[in-house]
Amino acid sequence: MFTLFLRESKKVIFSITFLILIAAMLLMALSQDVLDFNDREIEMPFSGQSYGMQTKEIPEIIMPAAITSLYSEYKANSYTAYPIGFYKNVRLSTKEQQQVAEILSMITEISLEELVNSVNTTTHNGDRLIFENGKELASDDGEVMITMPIPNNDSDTVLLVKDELTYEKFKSYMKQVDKLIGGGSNYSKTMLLNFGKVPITYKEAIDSYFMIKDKDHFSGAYARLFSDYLVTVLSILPVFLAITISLKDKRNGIHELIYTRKTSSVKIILTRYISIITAIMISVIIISYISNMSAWSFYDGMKLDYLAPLKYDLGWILPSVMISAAVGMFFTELTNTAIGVAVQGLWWFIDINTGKAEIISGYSLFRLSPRHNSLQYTQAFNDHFNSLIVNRLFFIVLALILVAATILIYEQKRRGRLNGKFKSLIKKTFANMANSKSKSAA
Amino acid sequence: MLFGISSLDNRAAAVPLEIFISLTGILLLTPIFQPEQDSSIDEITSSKYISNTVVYLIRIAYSILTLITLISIFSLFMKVSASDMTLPLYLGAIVTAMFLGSIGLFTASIFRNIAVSYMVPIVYYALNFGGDLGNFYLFSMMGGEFKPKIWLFAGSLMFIILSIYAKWISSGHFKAIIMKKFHR
Repeated sequence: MFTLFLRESKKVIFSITFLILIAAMLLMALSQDVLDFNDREIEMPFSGQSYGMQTKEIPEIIMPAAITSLYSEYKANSYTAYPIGFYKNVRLSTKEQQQVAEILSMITEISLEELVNSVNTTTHNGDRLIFENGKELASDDGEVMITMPIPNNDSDTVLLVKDELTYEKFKSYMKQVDKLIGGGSNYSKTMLLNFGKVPITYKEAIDSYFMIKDKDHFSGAYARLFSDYLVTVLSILPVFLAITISLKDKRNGIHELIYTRKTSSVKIILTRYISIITAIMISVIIISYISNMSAWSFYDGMKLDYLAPLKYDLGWILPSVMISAAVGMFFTELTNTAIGVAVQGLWWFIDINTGKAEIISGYSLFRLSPRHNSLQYTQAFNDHFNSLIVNRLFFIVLALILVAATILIYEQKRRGRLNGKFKSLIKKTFANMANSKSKSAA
Repeated sequence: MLFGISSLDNRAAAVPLEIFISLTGILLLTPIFQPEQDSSIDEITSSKYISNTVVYLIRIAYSILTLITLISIFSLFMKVSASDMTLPLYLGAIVTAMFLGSIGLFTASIFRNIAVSYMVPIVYYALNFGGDLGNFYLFSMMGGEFKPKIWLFAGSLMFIILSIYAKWISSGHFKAIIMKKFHR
C-alpha cells in the first residue's frame, strides 16, 4: 500500500496541475496580504482613541434607521441591493411600489395616501423626460438639462414608527420588502443589522483584545484569517488535480491494464485520494506556517498557540479540499470526462457569491467555504463554533460518501459493466430528443 | 436567477456581463484543441492535406462568432428588460469573455491536459475577486472603467496568435519543414 501511495504521490507532485495549484495558493495569499502579516499587529487599545464601528441588533436603533432608509428609497423608487455581493439598483413596478407604500403605512404614522403623493417619479412620456410636477427636463433640441433636485430632507416628513410595532413584526415586514426588491436589499435579514451601527466602546475593544489574547493566543486570529482566504481557492482547485490524476491513466492508455491488476479497487482509489489530499495539505501547512510565523515577533514574551495554523488547516481547510477532490474523482470515474470542473465550478461560484453576505462567522450548513474575514470577532467565532463543526463534519462525510461511490464505479468498470455506459446513455438521450423533435417537425 | 437583469443602471448592468457571461469564453474557446489532445487523432489529422492550423483558425472563428451571438442575445434580452445596455458594455462583455477564453486556449496549446486548460483561466478569474489587476482587471466596467478592455482585447489577440503558433510548432507540418531543412 505504501509503495502505491508513493507512486501516486509522485504522480501528483510532478504534475503541472499541482504546480499551478501551489502558485494559485501563493498568489491568493499574497494578493490578500495574508502571506506576510508584518504590518498587522493586533495592539492593545488605549483609552480615548476611536475603536471603529460595529453592528448590533438593537431594535430601537435599527427600526427607525431602516424605515427612514426605506422611505427615501421608496420616494425615489430607487432601491440598492447586493444580491450576490455586487451593487444593483432596483426600480419597482407601480404595483410593487404600492405594496411598499402599504407596508410603510402599516409601520409608520404616515397614511397611504400621503405616501403615494410623496413619490418623486421621473416618468417617460414619449421621448421626453417629464418630472412629476410637469417640468420638462429635455429641451426642444434634444439636449437633456438636468437640474439638481433640492436635497430630499426626510426630516420634512416626520417618520413616526407605530407604537404597537414589535421588532418581530417589523422584521417580517422587512422580509416582504426584501422579497419585492428581489433579495439582497438593505432590508434582508443579514443586511438589516447594518442599520444597527454603533461605536465600539473602550470596554468592548479591550474585551475583544483579551479574547484574541486569551482564546486565540494571537496566532489563532492570524490562522483564521489565512484560512478564510485560502479556503475560497481550495474549494475549487483540488477538483482540477483530482481530474488530472484520474484521467492520467486513461491518457497514457494504461487504465485497462490497471483494471486487470490484483490490487483492489478500494486500495487504488483510496491511495489516489489520500495522496492528492496529502500533497495539497502538506503545501497548505507549510504556507500557513510561513504566514503565521510572520506575526510571531509582535508578541515576544506572550503566550502563542504554535499549533493554531495546523488546527485551522485541518479543521477549516481540509474538509473543503476533501469535497472538491472527491467531486473531481467521482465525476471523472463516472463519465471519463472533465465534467467535474463544471459541477464543482458552479457550486463554488454560487457559494463564493452568496457567501459575501456573511463574511464574519458565515458557517451555515451548506457553506462550502466558511468565512471569517477579520482578525477580530473572536467572540463571534466562539459563538458560532458549533455550527462550524457541524458544517465541516457534513463535508467530510459527504466527501467520504463520494469516494465510496467512486470505488463502486471503479469496481464496476474493472468488471466491464460500466465502461462508457454513462456516456452512451447521455448520447442516446440526446439522440432520442433530436429524433422526437424531427418527427414532430415532420 | 442570482442577480436579475431587469431595470439595471449602467454599472449594475455590467455585473451579469462581467461576472457571469464572461465565463462563456472559457467554455467556448478552451476546448478548441481538445480533439487533437488524443495523440492518435492528432496523427490522423496531421496527415491530412489541409493544415491543422487552418482547421484551428476556422474553429476559433466560429467559436468567437458563437460567443458574439450568445452575448448579443443576452444583451438584447437585457435591453428589452429595460436595463441600461450600451454599446461599450456590449463590446466590453465580448472582450472579457474572449480574454478568459484565450487564456484557456493558450494553456491548452502548451499543455495536453484538459483540466489544466480550464484551471488557468478559472484561477485568473478567481484572482480578480481579490482585487484590481490594473489594465488586466476583468471587472472594470462595474466601476465605470472601459479602458482596460482595450488591453484585454490586445491580450486576447496575443494569446490566440501565440496558441496557433505553439500548435504549429508542435505540429507535424513544422517538424516536416525542419526535417527538410536539416536534410539539405
